[in-house]
Amino acid sequence: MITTNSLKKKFGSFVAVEDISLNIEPGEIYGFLGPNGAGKTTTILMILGILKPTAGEVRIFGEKINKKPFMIKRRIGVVAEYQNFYDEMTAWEYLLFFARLLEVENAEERARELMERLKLWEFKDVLVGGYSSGMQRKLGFVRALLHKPEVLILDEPVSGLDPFGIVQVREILNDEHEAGTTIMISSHILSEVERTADRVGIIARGRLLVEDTMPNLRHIVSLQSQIELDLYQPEETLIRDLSALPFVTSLDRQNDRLIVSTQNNKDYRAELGSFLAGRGAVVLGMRMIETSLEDAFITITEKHIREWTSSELQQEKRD
Amino acid sequence: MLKVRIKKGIPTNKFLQMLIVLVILSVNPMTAFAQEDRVEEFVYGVTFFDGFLYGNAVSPPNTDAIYLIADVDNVIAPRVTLIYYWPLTNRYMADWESKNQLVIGGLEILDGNKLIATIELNKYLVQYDSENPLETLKLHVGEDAEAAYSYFKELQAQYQNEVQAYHVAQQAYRDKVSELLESDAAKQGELTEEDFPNPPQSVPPMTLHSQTVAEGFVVSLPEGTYHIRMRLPNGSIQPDSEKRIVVFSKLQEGSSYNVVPESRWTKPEQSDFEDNAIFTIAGAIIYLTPFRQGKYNEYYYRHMEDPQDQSSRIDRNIWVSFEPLENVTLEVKQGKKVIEQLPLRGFVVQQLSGSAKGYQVVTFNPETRDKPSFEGYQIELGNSLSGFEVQLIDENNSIIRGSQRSIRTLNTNRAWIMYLIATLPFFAGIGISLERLRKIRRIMLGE
Amino acid sequence: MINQNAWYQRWNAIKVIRGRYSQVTLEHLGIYVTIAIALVMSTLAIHNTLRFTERNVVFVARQPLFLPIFICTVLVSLYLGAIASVSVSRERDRKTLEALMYGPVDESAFLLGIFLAHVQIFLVALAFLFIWSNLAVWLLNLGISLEVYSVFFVSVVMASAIVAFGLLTAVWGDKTRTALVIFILILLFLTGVQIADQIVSNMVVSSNPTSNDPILIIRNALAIVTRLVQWLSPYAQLIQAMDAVANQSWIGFITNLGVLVIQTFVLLFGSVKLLTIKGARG
Repeated sequence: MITTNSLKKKFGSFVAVEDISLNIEPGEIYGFLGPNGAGKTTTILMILGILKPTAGEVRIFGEKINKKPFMIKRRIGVVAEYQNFYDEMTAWEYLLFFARLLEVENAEERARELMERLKLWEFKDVLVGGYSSGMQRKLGFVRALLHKPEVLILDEPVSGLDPFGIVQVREILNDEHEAGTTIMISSHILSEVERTADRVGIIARGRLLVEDTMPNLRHIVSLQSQIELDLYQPEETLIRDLSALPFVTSLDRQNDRLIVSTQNNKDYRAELGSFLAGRGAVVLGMRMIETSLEDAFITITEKHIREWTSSELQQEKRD
Repeated sequence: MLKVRIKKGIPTNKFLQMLIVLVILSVNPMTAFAQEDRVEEFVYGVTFFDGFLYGNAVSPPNTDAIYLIADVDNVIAPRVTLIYYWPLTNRYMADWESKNQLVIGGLEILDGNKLIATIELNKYLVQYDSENPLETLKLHVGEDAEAAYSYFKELQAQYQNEVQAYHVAQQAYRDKVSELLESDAAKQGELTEEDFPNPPQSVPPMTLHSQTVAEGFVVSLPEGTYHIRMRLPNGSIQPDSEKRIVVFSKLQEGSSYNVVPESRWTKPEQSDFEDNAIFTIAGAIIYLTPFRQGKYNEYYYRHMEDPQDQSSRIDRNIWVSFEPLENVTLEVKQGKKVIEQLPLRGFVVQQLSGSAKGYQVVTFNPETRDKPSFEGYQIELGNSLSGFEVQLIDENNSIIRGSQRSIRTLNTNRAWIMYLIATLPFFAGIGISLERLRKIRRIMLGE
Repeated sequence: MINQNAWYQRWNAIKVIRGRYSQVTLEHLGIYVTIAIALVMSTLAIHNTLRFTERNVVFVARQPLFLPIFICTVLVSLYLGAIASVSVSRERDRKTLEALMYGPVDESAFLLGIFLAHVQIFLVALAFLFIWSNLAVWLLNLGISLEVYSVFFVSVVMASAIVAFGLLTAVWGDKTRTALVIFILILLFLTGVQIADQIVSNMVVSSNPTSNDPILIIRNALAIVTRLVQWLSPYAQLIQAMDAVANQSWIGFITNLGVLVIQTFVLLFGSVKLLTIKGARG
């Protein structure tokens, strides 16, 4: 659906984005992550045609954005990181303005439906300038969804929202996803991305470091799996024998809770369960501790930053 | 020691008197200045046609161009004279009386680098009859100039003879009247009007005006810019004779009116071709005097009249009024309907006698006066608001170009209503803004 | 079914933006205050005519409504040019232009929409002026001719050029304050040159004709600059059009009209091109 090919952007001599080639499949939720200043917003703006790339190309729906901007843009919905509104318009006027631009059918009905869903309907006659930041973000969502876009590009979609708002937005995104909408999310709230994204792309210092599914990312990052065991009054011998199992690499005990680290080649919960059952242990709970997206993110970015820093230092020494 | 006898305050020593006179003369700055700065220079004397009459100008060496109207005869006369700077008028002047020497040679006219004509010196003079200048104005050239001048001299001699005869007859008339008044019949009151002789008729002034015959180059060129120079008989070019000639045409023709309000007749207004509306007040009487008019580039025209002019501008045009139009009728219309046709009439401004300060304007009566104060069309505005159009038509009922004007009486008491109307948008805006505010409900979140 | 033709979509965006800006401006008190001030100044001009006629019995003029029309249209166009400039600058300052361009809006649609909105508002102002003029004709017995309507027409094109100029200064200046300063400074320069030219041309030259009097040099220089300004300034073109109408020179009138149309196109094209190069983000 969205493809970038060797995308590059320079501001003077500063290279903000270098050789970004990402691919977002139709119908998937794509998480686009990176530390501050990594080039996420720059990349998104190039995808949207707001910034002209120094090199490379962007294709959406198989077409270059600069060739058919009108037709492509009316199939995209955007929630930007920094929402900018016409303060002197009421929310209703604002939405109808964009509905007219996008030639939305049954615009008032559609706008009302979305506003009610996001609990904004009672504030429809309030000037947008009087909205809180959370309300403005929700209004941005309504605007982005008015025309039932095929692609949603969201930059920090839940920033500023209260928990209720986050839930409302999440529900809407799920509904859109189920309806087949392709969604690109850029966010610092990694738990949200982890919960929803099919694939994730991680960018740092203007480069795309990795682009893969969550399980594959975890696999790339962690060398071992961890299983959390809650046992009822475990005996010391049991614990000793448990740690001696061939697939167990280490064992941490926190009172009656054990963290069992195993080899990363498979899920050893069945073997563990068999062992404990054979020893008559009472298992109160067993769960696999997965590597979080946050861990993966930090590990991957730090690793690459270390590599780049080392490479740059060596280059400086040579120079 | 010089003894001086003072008689009534005046020194009587002749030598001293002469000394005083010399001192006075030498102290006069203008005389001293003028005497010192007169320089012999080659100049062109220009006799130019201004659209109506011929005028004269000098083009001294400090001017780089001569300006002439296109397609009419003008004369450029090559002269050597004394040139001096006159600070009062900020101009270089020609002292023709001290020196006025014709330079013999031919005038070459060039278009770019191409010689297009060589003109020889020719005799010329300008004559016109002031009673009908437009039709009688003529630049006589060659033998025709000599003949015209001879004719003028004959007329002049005839006029002088008639004036002489008139004076003789006048004297005889006075003598006769004196004799009659001293006679016995007069003392007895028996004299009647028939006893007195008719006074001699005064001789009307001579209306033919003429220059003396002079020599110059008669030039008539189409519109454009050329160069001229004078080639002397020995083949060389006369120093200071090279100049540009800018030949220009009338841009537009029209008619103007002198608009004279009866109550302020010394303050007329001029209505040029573009000033097509004349406003007045109810009850006023105005007089319109029509003139023929032409539009020219201001810079070219003013420099034609005065090559040393400094106030005119190349990007402006001026309307120049010429002779009054005659034998034309003023049509007064309302809409398409002609409501009146007015003949051109003479009017006389008569001072009112007595202590009352003022005057009145009456129709000219040739029996009581020689000539009117002015000629024009009298238009009386009624006391109610009115508006109509006027235009001039000639003897063939053709409309004189550019003569249309509208005349309206203004209601001068309603300006305050217009100010009121002007503020209406403000009140409309207040209403709209309030309506907007009413539609918007502002909720201060959190309060 | 949405028409996929790019020009149709661009035109839709132009219409929607035009509608929005017209509404915002017409719901704001500012335009009405401006129109009222302009009409009051026009009334002053007419009042002056009335006073003069009363005092001198006769007053000769071209069209007495020319000066009031000129005053009113100049003042309103100045205001509209300034707020058009501010509108574009603010959109860029607060990045709402970026939000617009997430959707089917490009630089030309955005600028043309704002341009047409302000020309539309000028027509509203012209309607007030039209009513005022006709009331003046009726109440004061001024008389009106068809030439006045031709001046109304050319004033619309003049205002279009001023609005287009405002758009260009906004794109050029990036920030709102900079844009407004550029707009005012350039117009002041164009007007100032003509005023200075009038003043200096009427000054007496005191030295002799052959010396290089400084005033002569300044006058000649100003004459050249003024001639250039008369081609560049929409106000000068309006004055020349009014002269042409008074002279019944319809070729001159059409020439001035043509120059104004060209000025408008050049300014609009320039602003679109510049915004495309600079981008929505600046």
